[in-house]
Amino acid sequence: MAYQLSKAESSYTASGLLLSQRLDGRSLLDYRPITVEAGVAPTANGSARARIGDTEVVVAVKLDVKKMGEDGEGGRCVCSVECSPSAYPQLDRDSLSDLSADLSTLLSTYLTPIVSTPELLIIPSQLYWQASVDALVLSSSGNVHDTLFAAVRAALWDLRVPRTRGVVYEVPGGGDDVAMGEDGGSSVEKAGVLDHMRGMKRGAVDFDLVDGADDGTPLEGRSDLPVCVTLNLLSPVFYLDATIPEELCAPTRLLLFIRPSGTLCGIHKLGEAELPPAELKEALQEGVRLGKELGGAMNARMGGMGGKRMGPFS
Amino acid sequence: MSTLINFDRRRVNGPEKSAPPLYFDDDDDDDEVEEEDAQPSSARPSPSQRVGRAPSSVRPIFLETGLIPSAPGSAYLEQALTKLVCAVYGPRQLKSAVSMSSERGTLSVSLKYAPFATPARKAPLRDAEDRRLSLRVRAALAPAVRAESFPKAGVDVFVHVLQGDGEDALVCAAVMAASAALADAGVEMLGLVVGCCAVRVGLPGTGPRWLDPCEEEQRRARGGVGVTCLPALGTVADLWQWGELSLDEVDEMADECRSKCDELHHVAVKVLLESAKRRLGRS
Amino acid sequence: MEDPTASGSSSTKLDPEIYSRIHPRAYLERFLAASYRPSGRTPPSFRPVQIHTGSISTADGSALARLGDTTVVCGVKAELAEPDAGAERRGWAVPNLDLPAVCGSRFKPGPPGEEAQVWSERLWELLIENEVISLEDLCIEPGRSAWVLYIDLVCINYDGNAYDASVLAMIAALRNTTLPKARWDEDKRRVVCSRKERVPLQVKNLPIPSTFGVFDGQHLLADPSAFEEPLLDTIVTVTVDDAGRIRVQLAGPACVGGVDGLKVVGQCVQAARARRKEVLGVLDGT
Repeated sequence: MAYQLSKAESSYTASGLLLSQRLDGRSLLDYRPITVEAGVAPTANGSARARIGDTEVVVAVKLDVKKMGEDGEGGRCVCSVECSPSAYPQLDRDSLSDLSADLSTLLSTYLTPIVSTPELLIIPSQLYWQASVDALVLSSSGNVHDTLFAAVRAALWDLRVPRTRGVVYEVPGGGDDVAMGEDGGSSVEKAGVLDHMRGMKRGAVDFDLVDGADDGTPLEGRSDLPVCVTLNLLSPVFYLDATIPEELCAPTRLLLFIRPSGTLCGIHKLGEAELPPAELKEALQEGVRLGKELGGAMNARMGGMGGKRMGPFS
Repeated sequence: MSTLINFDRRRVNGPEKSAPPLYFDDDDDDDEVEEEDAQPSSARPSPSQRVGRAPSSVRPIFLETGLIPSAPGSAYLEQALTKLVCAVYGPRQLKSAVSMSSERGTLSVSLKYAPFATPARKAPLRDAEDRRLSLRVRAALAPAVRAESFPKAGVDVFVHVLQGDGEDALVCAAVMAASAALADAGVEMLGLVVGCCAVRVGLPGTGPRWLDPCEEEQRRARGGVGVTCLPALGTVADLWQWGELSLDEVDEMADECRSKCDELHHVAVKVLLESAKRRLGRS
Repeated sequence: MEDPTASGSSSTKLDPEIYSRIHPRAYLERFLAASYRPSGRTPPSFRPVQIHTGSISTADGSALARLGDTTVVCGVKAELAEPDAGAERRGWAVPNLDLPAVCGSRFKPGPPGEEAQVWSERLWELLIENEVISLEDLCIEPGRSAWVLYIDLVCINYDGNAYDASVLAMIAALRNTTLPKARWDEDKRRVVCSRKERVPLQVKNLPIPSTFGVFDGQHLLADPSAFEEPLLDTIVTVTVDDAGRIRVQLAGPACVGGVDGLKVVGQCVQAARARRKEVLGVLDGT
């Protein structure tokens, strides 16, 4: 966009990459140092900060109780990514908000199916936890996507879902709302109950929060949460974790969302160049291998810092 | 479900809040509708038999160019229930001074749904989805358009969806209509872009793959792949994937889509040839 | 006005299309001097009307109307809402015309422009004042629930006189509209709709507008095209309904004044009556 590379610098960087030489001495498939820290925001249900090189993203996940059908189909997960102006000093206000909007859409596209797990259902077909995922890009020196998704992954790893217990009412057939509320005979606030009962006849109608020693249960499948690997394709080579000049040299960039078990959860292409199918195939294969590796490494690291979480906020 | 948060004085306004009707089967309990949404699709046995179509069938496409005389290039596309119009304006002067220094022209794509284009009415407010699909269509067209042939100027592609049936299929249809309209407008391109998509239903490894899924099929699917390519050059313009698929499945589906794209390319070429002949005959 | 294509000393011959762009007024004047318009129509002639209904299956009723090249698609979608406190027995009709960027180079993406706003407002007036549909018919249970008819119109090709085309599309779409059979369920406190049974919407009146343009204070052009529209002094729309009621709407920078003005309006009314018969024939053929 607004950031431009002079022709000389671009060709210098590109010819280096074609010879497998990078300005910072890394090999093509090396990452810069990755730091991930979970539990950075004590008031969130899950949070994390990720840093790759000098790119830094903070993510907080908050859970809210929502009624089914309130926000339509896509309401399971609300994502918003904000790019700090200091991270992109070269962008004007409009481009910055476009960038934020595009990252938000990307995040929500690939995260919504992942977050739509039964674990976030409170009462099937009625109430669920809606995850609000808020990310802030604090600084950018290339590879924002990988950093963003690393932070999101760590925040979801850190996420604790409050324990709940369903409350069941005996409902007399055909009674009106007031009768139902009284028959419930529970200490739960009645007005709230009535709202949930509209047009419903059986099963649990409300829930209680369960007090426990901890602050909730972590997501069951968290070790298989996908990672994002961005492959920068500069035919015939490809390289990982590009710095800003290196990103500008790549005509095509492929974002791959890969579970550590090897399943692909998303492919997204950036860049305005077309690709020969054979090259694409090779890149996908290599990308999946790298994604499994990265996911495995992250799992090992996150598992080791289980006790690092800060105290819950209640 | 449309909630007018702000009263919009530029439009005729309805009630503050309205909801689509809830249906019931005349003799049955009406809770059914709600529960369908709540069940994960794997809970219901998804019949691996496709209803009414062969697994690798692409719904027949009707494409015509030049239907909007006031636009330099235009196309109308109909594919089963999907109906969309596309107009191309430009190259024309850009409003912003930012891109004036650029050696390449600017290609902008804007896709819009008519409010009645989907089963649930879309209130005509600014919609994030439109931007997402616009970017997807743009990603497919950008590799083909020779933006260096109109420096400092802009080409605008507008797609208006009158009815959609399946999001991925809609993107593919919009890409095909847009590239035909670009050609109709005489914008220089490396080749025509066409797209095809596929979904996989059922459990990993076993379920069949269906090309060109409709809305219902896309909702039921475990994952899907979309490919747009330039069959004339044998290259891929854009590839996207969603859901949960193995690498082998993605490869297979992408390959099948690409070979289908070759067929679609013939359709688009034929339409353009005919319209060119018409135009020559007229002048 | 200098005429660059006038025969004689002019060394270069100007392409008619370029001429029409540089001197649109003179171009039109020359045609009218021969009693023709650039499209080959005579001044009092309208463009042919085509109407197709029911092609959009996501809508409860739909229609496409073409007036020459001007094409408008209308889709009606019904939703449910609680009636307003002051009008417990009435539903809503919400017509909105969109002139999107596809339909012509002078339209920009974004919120509705002035033309679209004015026409949407006029469509609403037409629906209510000419009682095309009765809002009372839309009530399901007084004070509880009523239908909201979202009548969304999209112009996909603009070649002038989008208002006439919009009215035709709207009326045809309303005549094509069916609503699911609905009743208020007191136990569930909501409306339940039948999946199988649908009831056609009652369209009670068919007001048909005919639009004319006054050019240069003397030429009356029926059904103006996009080329003629910006050159007109006044635009006269005459709407005639089933009961023979007439509504005349004037718009434009100049007024049709004096005795001549009345004569012009009289001519328009006469032509509008004749036109209405023709249009009804097409409407009933769908």
